[in-house]
Amino acid sequence: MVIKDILRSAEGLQKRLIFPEGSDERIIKAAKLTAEKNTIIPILVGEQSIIRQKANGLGVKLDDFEIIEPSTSTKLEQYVSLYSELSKIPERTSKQIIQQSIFYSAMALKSGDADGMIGGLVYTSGDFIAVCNGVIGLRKEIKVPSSFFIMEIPDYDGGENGFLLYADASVNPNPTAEELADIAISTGHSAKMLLGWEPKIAMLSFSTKGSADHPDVTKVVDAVKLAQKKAKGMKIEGEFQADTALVLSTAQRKIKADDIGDVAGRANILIFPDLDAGNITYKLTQILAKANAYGPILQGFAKPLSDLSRGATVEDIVGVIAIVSVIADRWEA
Amino acid sequence: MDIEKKFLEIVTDIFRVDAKELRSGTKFVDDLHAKSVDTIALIAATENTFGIRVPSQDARKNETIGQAIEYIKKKLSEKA
Repeated sequence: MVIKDILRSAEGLQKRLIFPEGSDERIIKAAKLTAEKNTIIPILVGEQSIIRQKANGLGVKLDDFEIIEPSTSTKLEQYVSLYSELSKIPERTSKQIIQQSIFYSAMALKSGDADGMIGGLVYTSGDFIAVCNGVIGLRKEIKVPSSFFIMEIPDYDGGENGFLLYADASVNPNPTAEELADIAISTGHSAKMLLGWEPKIAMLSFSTKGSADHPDVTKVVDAVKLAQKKAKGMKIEGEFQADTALVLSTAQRKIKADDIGDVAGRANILIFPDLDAGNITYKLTQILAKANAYGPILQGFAKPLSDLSRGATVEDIVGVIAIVSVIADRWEA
Repeated sequence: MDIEKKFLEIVTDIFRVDAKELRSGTKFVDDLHAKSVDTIALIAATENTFGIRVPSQDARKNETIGQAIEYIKKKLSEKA
């Protein structure tokens, strides 16, 4: 349902998305399907001969594609110079590095020659994130990349019409209070840009407003304060137990009326204290509530991008293309 | 091509160290403090310079400069 809405919103946007794994058949197919809807103008990076051979084999015409082989690109010298300046690696070695498609694509995105980037079919998520972090960098005032899931929960009338965002879903095993605050802020931005929601962010714990005393609770309490200070105007509250975050009657019982705020019992974004909690909860929600989980979608970077799981299907990639295209269209630096 | 000299040139450029400080037993992570992005950059530069493929799981098994040079030599001899 939500993906259908996003796919529809993405049609006609004509975002220039760059794919460092341009010779992967799944990328070629997904790029063609979305280019036909004018969602994207695909930029495939890789060896021209291989990309054309694979496209021929698939019966895909590449008329509306841009294909770039880094070693012969007219932008190569410009990117080498920029990368050398950024990384402090001399140009002789920077030139060898930038000819690798993932570095070339990241430089194209950083330079504004692409609107977004999608990769990760060949590279591991860790490697993909490391290059994006090293080359593209993070949003202003965000110090850690993270990710989120869109949870579509059948027969649930809470959250945002039955939807919730969960974060962090895959990147930070044990975030510090500062990192947790950044994860909350990034997810708020993602919810606004991708889904047009007004974020109501609950920072989860096993304690509600001081009901327990433990270093893990203190971490969440500190994260709430830091997030509220950094993102004034964004509704970020806690520390809350999950029932306090989601059930208004429970929130009213556990929190004094003058301290209840706008998030308790009405949250549409749940920020988990660590990856154990986030990962376990998203899987339990899938199994017990028969929820659909879309993601993980990367966030926190200075430009729109996302990775793919190495087992991603063409349908999965089409969904991620739509998500990155919509985010790129509504991007607020 | 002098494989050793060329590889040491890449290492000195990426890790910004003097070649004189490098030994065969110098470890990328422990001694040169390689981060993930450095390792991927090292793989990229090695692949393009020597015309070989270096899967990242192979790269991570080569903990020292000496091991990496031996790996490159082996890959090149397989290619020949």
